Amino acid sequence: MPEDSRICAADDGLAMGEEFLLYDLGRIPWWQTQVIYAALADLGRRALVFCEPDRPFYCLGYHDSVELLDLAYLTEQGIPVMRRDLGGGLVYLHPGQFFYQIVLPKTSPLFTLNRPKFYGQFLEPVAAALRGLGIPATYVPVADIWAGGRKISGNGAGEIGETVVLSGNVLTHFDTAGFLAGLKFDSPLQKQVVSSKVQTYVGWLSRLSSEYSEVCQALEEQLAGVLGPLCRTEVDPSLEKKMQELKPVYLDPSRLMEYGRSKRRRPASFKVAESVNVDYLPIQKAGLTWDVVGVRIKGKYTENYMEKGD
Amino acid sequence: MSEVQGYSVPDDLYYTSDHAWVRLLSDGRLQMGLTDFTQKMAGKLTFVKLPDKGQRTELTTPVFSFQSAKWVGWIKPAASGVVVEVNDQLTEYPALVNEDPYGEGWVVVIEPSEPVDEALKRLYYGKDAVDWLEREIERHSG
Repeated sequence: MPEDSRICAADDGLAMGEEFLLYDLGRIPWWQTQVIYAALADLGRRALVFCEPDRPFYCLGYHDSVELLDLAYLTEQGIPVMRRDLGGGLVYLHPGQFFYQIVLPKTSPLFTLNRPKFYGQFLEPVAAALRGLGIPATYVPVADIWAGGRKISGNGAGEIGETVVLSGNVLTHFDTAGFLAGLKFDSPLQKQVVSSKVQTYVGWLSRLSSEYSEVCQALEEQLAGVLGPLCRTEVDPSLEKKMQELKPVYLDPSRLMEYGRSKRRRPASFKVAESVNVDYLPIQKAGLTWDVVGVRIKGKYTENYMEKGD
Repeated sequence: MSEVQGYSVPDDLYYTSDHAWVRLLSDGRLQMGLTDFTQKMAGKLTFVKLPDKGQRTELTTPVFSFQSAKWVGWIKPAASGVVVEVNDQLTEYPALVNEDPYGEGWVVVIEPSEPVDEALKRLYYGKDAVDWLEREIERHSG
């Protein structure tokens, strides 16, 4: 904990304060990582949260289609899925990924509808924190942080009532095989190319694999420069109660099945990282279907693969 | 059509505090969409989640959501009532909002269940709309 950190009593009166509360929670139940910020928003608290899920799960962006996932496989394997309130795409979250979450009211001077400005004011300090740990991190607009040509942090945001939330992660570890196992693909070729590109473009900071506290301290110091003095606190009974109230709402299967991104079929483009997509583009040739998969970087195809389809 | 610091503000429309425009149709229904300011702040829209036709609207409950730059935004309805039309084109092509925010990029039409004059009184219009937008530009872009 930085020397100048303050500790605040956890009670409802905090909701009205101007200072940001800091919840440094460590490893928590997987679903709480996505419900805590909704609960804090409902309670009207401004907060910075650090946490890590206690088990792997898939998390759909608010508008994502559940068709991206092989639900039968996930049910068989007992791997949970939930839909978050925030934007961004489908992610596979697991222990070893640290989350930072910022909850602020729309009345805050830090709130802006200008997306690059909003993300930049928080993600530049996050990148600076990682650089302080020896990682050559750079903020890549609009919402990624890259190091050494690989994405090491993904971020999303959303409005929840009169609050806006930013949630991001630091990929200290990423289980590529686990991630791919639960996804549906249009063809084996697409899965093969996605696997290759995830390994190329999604990075992780194995040096920090057991250093949750090191990362959090660096983030706390840097983000305090934007958020102002932080008051350390703990999950209090009203926050716990709110999370328990919201849990069935967020885990309700009907929420998962909302049509999201496609009333239409599963999207044929798989986004690996910002500006890196793997597109499935089947063609008919000589009476046969050929699977064609293109790697699109910054809007231009850089690689193409083709094989005979089923 | 007024223009405020590069943002188009049609004079015949009304505006909500969450930056949607509202057009009073000749039959008393209210058409809604995202303003030029909103679409420029948001960047290219990647999704618009439309309500179902027949869905009831309440003033405090958002009527549709949209996404750009990994951000989920919400718009509240201009009136209590019922959604009677939605722009299905946006399901396949949400960037239509960016291309033509006040025309082809409209999002929903609401049949108010309250007197339409009451609904419009809550909205910005004319010089008030321009003054308000100037303050909002300062706040969000400054």
